[in-house]
Parts: sequence; C-alpha cells; structure tokens
Amino acid sequence: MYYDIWNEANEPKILEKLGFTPVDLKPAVISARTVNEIKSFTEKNKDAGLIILRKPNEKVLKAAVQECAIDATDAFVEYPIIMKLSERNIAVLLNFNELLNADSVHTPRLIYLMSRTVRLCRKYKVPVMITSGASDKYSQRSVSELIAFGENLGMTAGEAKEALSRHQNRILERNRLKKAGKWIISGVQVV
Amino acid sequence: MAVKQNRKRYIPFKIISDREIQFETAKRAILESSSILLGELGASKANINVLPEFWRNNSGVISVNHSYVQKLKFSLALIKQIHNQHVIVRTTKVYGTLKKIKTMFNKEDV
Repeated sequence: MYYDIWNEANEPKILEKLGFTPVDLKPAVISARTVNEIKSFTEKNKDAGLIILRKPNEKVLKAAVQECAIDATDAFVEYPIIMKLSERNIAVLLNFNELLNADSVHTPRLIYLMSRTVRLCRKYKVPVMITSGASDKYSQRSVSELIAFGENLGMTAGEAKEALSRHQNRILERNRLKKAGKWIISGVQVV
Repeated sequence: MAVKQNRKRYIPFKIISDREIQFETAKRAILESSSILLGELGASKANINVLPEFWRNNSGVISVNHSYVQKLKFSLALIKQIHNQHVIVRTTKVYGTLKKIKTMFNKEDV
C-alpha cells in the first residue's frame, strides 16, 4: 500500500484512482523562522499526527532536530545535520509539488539538490518520503509517476517504492497507538 | 546473439481533466514536456511516439525506447496544463508488445 502523506487536496476518490490508500491524517506544516517560533509551533501542534518543518534555515532545523520536535522536513539537508536526522529517525521529504511549481530556470537546480539529498540520505541511512505535496486536485500525481520521480533522482525502484510506504506505515502505526492510548513517547508504549 | 538496439515499450496513459482534449493537443504537450526534460538530443534518442490509433476518451498509448521509460513517466508528471486546462497525466503499466496492449485496450479502459 502506498500513501501520499502530505496531500492537502482532500480528494479521496481521485487519490484512490491514482493508486494511493487515503488516510485520515492531517499533517501540521510548520514554517518557522526563529528558534522561538519553532518551540511555540511544535507546542501548539503537539497532538498532530505528523509535524513537517517546511524550508527551515540551518539554525531552526538544528534546534528542531535537537529537540526531536518534528517528524519530517523538506529541507535539502547537508552533512553535519543529516547525521542527527538519522539518529533521531526524522525523515526527509521530497516534495513533487515544489518541482511542479518551479519555473524552468530553477528546475535543474532543484533536481540537483534533490538528487544530492537522496545520495546523502542513502549514505547516512535517513528515511526518505516522497509526497506530491498537492494543494489542489490537479497537482496530485499517481504512484507510478512519483516512483519515476524517485528513480530519476537516483533511487532504485525498490527505494522509490519504500519512500512511498515504509516510513509512512510507521507514522500511521504510531498514530493508531496514540489513538488507542498505548503510545507514551518515542520508544515507550503500553503492551 | 544480436540484440535489437531500439527495444520499444508501450505506456498507456490517461489524461484526467474536466474537458475532452484533442489528440494533436495532447501529443504536442507530451512531446514538449519530454523535450524540456530530456533535451532535444535525449528526446530524439528516446524515440517517443504517441500512437493515434489508440486515442479515445482522453487516453492513449506512447511508445518509447526501453531505457527511457522512467524518464518519460517523469516528464509526463511534469505536465500541469494542456491548452490552459489543468490536467493530471496518469500512467500505470508498461507493455512490451503491441499485441498485449491491443488485448488490454479491447478488454478495459486505461
């Protein structure tokens, strides 16, 4: 089963047509500029199923990762921080919509940065998630297109498929446990 | 044993849109998008062809060189609009022969 975890289009029928399993998970997308902002935003969205930090600067990302306050980020991470992401199991998001809405001048640079991120994530074993990041009906894309997107960024077919299902499954499982009241904090749950 | 250089693959696709789209318009959009992503030289090596005999109800078939399948799919995903009309281009399976694709087209919709 494949999941498009960051899709704000809210069109479950089309999502199913495109090969995804619809989920009732609304991610909290945070775009903070200062360290204080990140603290207040994460405190506000404590109960959200998934917290995504959108395009942070280096300071903010460092603080968010240090406190383990986020689940994923769509930043193009580099060497020292990527190791922290790996330790704390924070995923890197590859947002297709960013590429879709980029103008033709910036597209090659974006593809380069994304493929570099994929390379680093493989090296440091950071989970990668591919999402459409759709904001409306027509910016959604099918499973096969997103797999092709991943493969063109340097993933193998298996890695691209995992990027649409593996870490998402973990997040969904955690939310299931949270709803059942069995999840306490990361690593501690009621059996 | 000699191996054919240009092994074709056939990709059925469907354009999800509010209005019906003409074959020529769709073909133009697909070829433009692929030549933007692959470059003119890459697009010529990919040997992309939209087959007119399979076009019906906004769905059709593209033939492409076997090593450019994923690149073509990526370029199809980058199509946002055709004739100022917002669209989603959806592909599913990849076929190796025309015979299979004909039987699939007779059986079901893409």
